[in-house]
Amino acid sequence: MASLQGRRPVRGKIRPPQRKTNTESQFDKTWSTLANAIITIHEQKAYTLSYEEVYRCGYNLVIHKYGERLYNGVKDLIEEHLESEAEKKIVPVLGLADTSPAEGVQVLKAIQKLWKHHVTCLLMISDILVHMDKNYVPQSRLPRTYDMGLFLFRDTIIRSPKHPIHSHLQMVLLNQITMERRGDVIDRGAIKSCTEMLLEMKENNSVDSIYVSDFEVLFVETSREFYRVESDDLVRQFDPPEYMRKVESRLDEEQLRCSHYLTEKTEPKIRQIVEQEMIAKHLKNVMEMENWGLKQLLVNNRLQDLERMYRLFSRVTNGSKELQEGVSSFLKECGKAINANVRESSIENTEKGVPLGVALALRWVQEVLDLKEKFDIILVSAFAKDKSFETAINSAFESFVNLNPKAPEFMSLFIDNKLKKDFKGKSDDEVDTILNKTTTLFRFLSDRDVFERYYKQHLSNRLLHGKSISDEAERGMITKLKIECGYQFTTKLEGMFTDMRVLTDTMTSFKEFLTNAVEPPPFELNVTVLTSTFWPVPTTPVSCNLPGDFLAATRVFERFYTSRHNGRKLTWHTTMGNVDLRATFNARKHELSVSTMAAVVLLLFNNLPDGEALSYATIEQETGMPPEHLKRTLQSIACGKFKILIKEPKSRDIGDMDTFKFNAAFQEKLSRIKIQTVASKVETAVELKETQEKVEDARKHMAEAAIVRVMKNRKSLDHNNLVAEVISQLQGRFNPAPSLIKKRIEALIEREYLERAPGDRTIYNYMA
Amino acid sequence: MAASTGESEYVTLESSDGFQFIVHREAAMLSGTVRNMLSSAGQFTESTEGVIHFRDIKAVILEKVCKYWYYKARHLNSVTEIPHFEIEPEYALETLMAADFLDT
Repeated sequence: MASLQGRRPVRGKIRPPQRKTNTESQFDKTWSTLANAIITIHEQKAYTLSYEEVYRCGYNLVIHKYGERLYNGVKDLIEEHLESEAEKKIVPVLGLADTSPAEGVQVLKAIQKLWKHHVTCLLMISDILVHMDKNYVPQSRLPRTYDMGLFLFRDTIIRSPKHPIHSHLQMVLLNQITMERRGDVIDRGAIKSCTEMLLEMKENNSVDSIYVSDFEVLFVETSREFYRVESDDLVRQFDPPEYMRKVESRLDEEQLRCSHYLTEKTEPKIRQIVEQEMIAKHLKNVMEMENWGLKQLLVNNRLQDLERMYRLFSRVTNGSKELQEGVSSFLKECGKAINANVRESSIENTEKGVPLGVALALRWVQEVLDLKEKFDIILVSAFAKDKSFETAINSAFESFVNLNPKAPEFMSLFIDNKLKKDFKGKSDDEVDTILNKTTTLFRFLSDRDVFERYYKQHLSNRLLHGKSISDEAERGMITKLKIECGYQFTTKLEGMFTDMRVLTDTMTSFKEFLTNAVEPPPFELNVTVLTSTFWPVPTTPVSCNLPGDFLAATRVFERFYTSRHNGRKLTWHTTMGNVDLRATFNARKHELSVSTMAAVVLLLFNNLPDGEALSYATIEQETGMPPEHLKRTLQSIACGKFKILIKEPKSRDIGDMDTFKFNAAFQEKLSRIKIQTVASKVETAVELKETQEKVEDARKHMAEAAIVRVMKNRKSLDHNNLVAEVISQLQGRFNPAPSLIKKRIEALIEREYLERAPGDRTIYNYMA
Repeated sequence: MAASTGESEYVTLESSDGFQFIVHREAAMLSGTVRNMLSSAGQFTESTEGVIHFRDIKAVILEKVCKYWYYKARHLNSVTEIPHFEIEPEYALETLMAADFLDT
């Protein structure tokens, strides 16, 4: 340690560097060297300079605290230079821009040239003033030399207070762009370098480029004006498809313009303007145009144009919504037309007294299906499967389908028809697609319980008369309905199938039973045993006095059946049966296949002497059938294609005073004649009322059941919540009216299932 | 780069008292100032001639500076312990000033 301490002075002392005298004259001398150097740089003769010398000047000035004077000196020098350059090189060409817009490019080029030169000089100057930038500039919070130079260019050239450069520059740029929009070819390069220059220069905050304030704002404004005028013109000149093509190409054009010679940042702004001016403002106009507006595009399936419309309209707020509304109102119109068609024919027919034909129902469903298919295609290929469009389309369908009060019946008839006839010889796939389409229609129905009732009716007809072509298709349909509406909906339908299956077993054992029977019936008897709750049969059978033989036969079966299934009650429904009769006419014998009721009527003539007639009243009395059934039966055998009976007087309808006699002269080629009972058809007004009553009744039960279910669960609930919950439970089947629910609640209170809470009358309590 | 522009691998540094030091261009470029001199867009005389005249730096100091460049170049990115760079106290201040000027 001691030795170290001893050594220190020996190493010599730190010598201070030689002090330089720093006087004014020193400054002047150094500065003038530097100033000359800058001028040399501006003259593009930097190669004659020694960097070391110039740098040393700058360095020394800063070290000797002349930073401020140096900085300002440099600034003044650059400014001076720029001003003289502006005067020499830019001002002379400004006039060109005034005379011809095309020549305006010269202004851009002149400014550009000066800019490039300026930037190179600035780079060199900031190179030699590195020391100042690093030391003096940060402590005085000034822009660095390079940035200061850019500001100078901005303030002395672009925004020159002396010369109208600013306005000319803007004018030229905008003119050029407008020229290009009109289809001229312009010097894109010149504009691109100009926008790059503007981007390079910043506002005083050093963040925003002057491109925005000095150009973009104005550009956006003029573009708005341009497109306002242009869109007005185009809308007047072209039809919507063409107009939309033009809009689309404009949008592409603007996007390309931004990427080619403006900046990406401008793109959303200009896009918004084009969208606003060309799409949003003309939205309604374009859609509602007489000639090739939305309606005609839809009518003619112009998928491409629709797709374009969708794409363009989706760009603006509300656009897609407006389009949806347009589509949906068009759809509703179509639906109305379809409905009106049906109504018109129905009025025509009811006037003539003819019941609505099946054909009408089929036509309605087919038309709806066609419409649906059309819109499915449009949705997929024009609206990009847009979910909101799908909902709009579906709800439009829903609204008009349910406007037709006969919709559930029509749909069921449609399926009935398909299952009875149309599926003959069709592959499973074809059947499946048709059923699928029908199910989609079914989805639009709100009164599903009504549909169920009709479907049951039609299904029972098909099953009992063996008219169904394919069991598989029937089951397929049921499965689809099950998927749509749940297990509950189809239990009864499935029960009907089960009954039909059990039937074969029952009949084989019945035949066995007959071989041992004491008094077998005088004819072959086939009985279809139906579970009464599954099938749409009237609770009390239609009265009909069976002849002795028939009666005996039913007794035999009853004996057989009760022996096997104790406690079951059989009710005979003569309305649903068939009888094969052998009838002897003058010409030959024929086998007649008729309904049970017709057989009962015909057998009356069996014991009658030839040529004797029976009056309507006698027949009515003998058979005991209610008039409407009797009349229908008589109609089928006396007024139909095969006239087994001759009616006096001859007419289509059966009157109370008519008389009938056996048509012994009946002739027909076929030996076996099937006399159709009145085929399934759209209901008459009376039947309709009946059905409606039945539906109403069923709805009451469903509503009550739902109310009890909810209340049992909750024990106590206020009115509004109860109604809401019941509605949500029932919605799958039908749309219950709150008033219906209210009435049901009252009925339940009366029957003491519920009570009003003492104190608060809006709350109900469940009474166990 | 050296080959394409005809630049030599070396540069000559000349002190205020007339001594010349021929050093690797790469080493000299470790000085911000020298780097600017040789690579500025301005094509100053130094970059065209490859000779830099330091009118304010004496040979003793310039030699020290050159030594330092090589010292730095050798130990740049080195992982082992870096030996001490010796500066004689009597030259310390002037070396410091030169370093500031050269931005080294």
